[in-house]
Amino acid sequence: MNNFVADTVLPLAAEQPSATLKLQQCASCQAVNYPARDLCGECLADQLSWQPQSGLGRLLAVATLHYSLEPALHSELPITIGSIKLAAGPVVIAYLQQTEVTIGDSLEVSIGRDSSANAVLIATPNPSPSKEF
Amino acid sequence: MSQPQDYSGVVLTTPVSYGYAKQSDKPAHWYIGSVLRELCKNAGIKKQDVDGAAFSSFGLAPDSVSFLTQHYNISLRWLEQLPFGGASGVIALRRAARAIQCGDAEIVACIGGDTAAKGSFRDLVADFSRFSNSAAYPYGAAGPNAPFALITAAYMQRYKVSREDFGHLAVAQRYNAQHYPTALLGDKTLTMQEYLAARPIAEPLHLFDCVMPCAGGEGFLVMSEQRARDLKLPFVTIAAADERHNAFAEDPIQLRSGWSEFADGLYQRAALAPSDIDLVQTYDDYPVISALQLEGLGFFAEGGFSNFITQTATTFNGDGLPHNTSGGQLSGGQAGSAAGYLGVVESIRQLTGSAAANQVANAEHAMVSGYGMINYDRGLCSTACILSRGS
Repeated sequence: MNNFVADTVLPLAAEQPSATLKLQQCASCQAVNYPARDLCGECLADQLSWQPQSGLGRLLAVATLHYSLEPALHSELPITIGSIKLAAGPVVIAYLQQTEVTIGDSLEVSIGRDSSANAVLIATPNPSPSKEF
Repeated sequence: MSQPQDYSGVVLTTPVSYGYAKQSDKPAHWYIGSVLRELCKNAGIKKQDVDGAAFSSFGLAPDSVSFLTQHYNISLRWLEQLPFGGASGVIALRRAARAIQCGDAEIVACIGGDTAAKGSFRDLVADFSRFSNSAAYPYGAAGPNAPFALITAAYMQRYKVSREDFGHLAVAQRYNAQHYPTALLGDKTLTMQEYLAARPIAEPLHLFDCVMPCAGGEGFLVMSEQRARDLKLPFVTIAAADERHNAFAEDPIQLRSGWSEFADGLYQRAALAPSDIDLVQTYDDYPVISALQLEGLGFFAEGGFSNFITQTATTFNGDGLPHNTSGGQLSGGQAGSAAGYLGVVESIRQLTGSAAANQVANAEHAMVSGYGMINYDRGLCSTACILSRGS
């Protein structure tokens, strides 16, 4: 069977199917960093560690992929992805679980697994819209 | 902020575009070496006369440009490797012009070249950068189509731009390509109906919004004006040029880049206004990126793309603003790093009156804009220069 190996470096224990969002945070300036870095992209301190973060964010853009360079993903097409500005600071690209979405929607991002069991970011509608970002 | 000094006394000559092919079994080294040979032949110089070089390629690994000197048996006293993708051509002329002005070299060959073997595009984008590998490519493995589909979606929503608006740009470029003999898609027509009916690739992007990766090489020579006159070579001058890297990093999605930051200074140093520009070459890996460049460089106000493109002919002979006069990448193919030199090379042809059937009449000033290197969610490098016909 085709498998797509993608190293997103997201923290997700081998036995876990999903987890709440953790991203690198700087102990010196508190900046949340994404994509993963080797030191803080804001203050350049060597003080990054993976810390729990709010997954709430706002949908900036959505795209529906009809073509993939990885054969393992061909059976999944079309694939919907989005660009999401997190309340925690960074912009993430994530799989969108619900395809009927509009730019500006409030979403929640967590860590899950793709069809090849890679740890990936997955966005779902914000379960408690009162907690809007 | 300090302003760059002028580029007086320096000229660009000898535009070469070479070897465009949809697929090739030749390595990038063959494309770069072929362009070097054509540059020397067309300029009437020996390769020993070239004492500086700036090379760009995605396909040299495991080699670096220093190894190319032995491949081509050339001895240089100035050498640059410019890994800026679509921004490489303008950066090459900026670096080379300073080398000429400072006496570090007398004749600099600026060349971008890449090949297109079966599967090579996938190999390139699947391991393009650490950020892309961990945070972009895993999400559907669509390569650059994914971040550019997201940028396109945001731009269309923010500025009320339709697919048809982008279609005007693509259809005009195909018309230009039909008048440029080596454009790979120049033998095929493209109507608005065909553009709109194309299959979706990464919605909102459809087939004719996406470039076709191909093989090819582009290059030009940089030297003193006196040397060009001695060699009896037609030339262009650099009225102004600038570059930015990771401009507007705080913007959540890229709807502008360095052009918005440096455009005013660029026109000021050139003592020109957007209305003085006779033709524009943008880096058109996707139509939305051409729109960002045209907007950032002041050809219309923020959000005005739809009005601009429906009211302005962008064909080479439409009495509007000729844009991507050889068909650009959308109709000519994207030859890796050569695509970053294409706009400079085509502008030298246009301004020296040596273009093909796509010659713009009486062109005096050309804007060439560059854009490159999608690390994660946006291109990081933005460049532009204004080139003027030599007198």
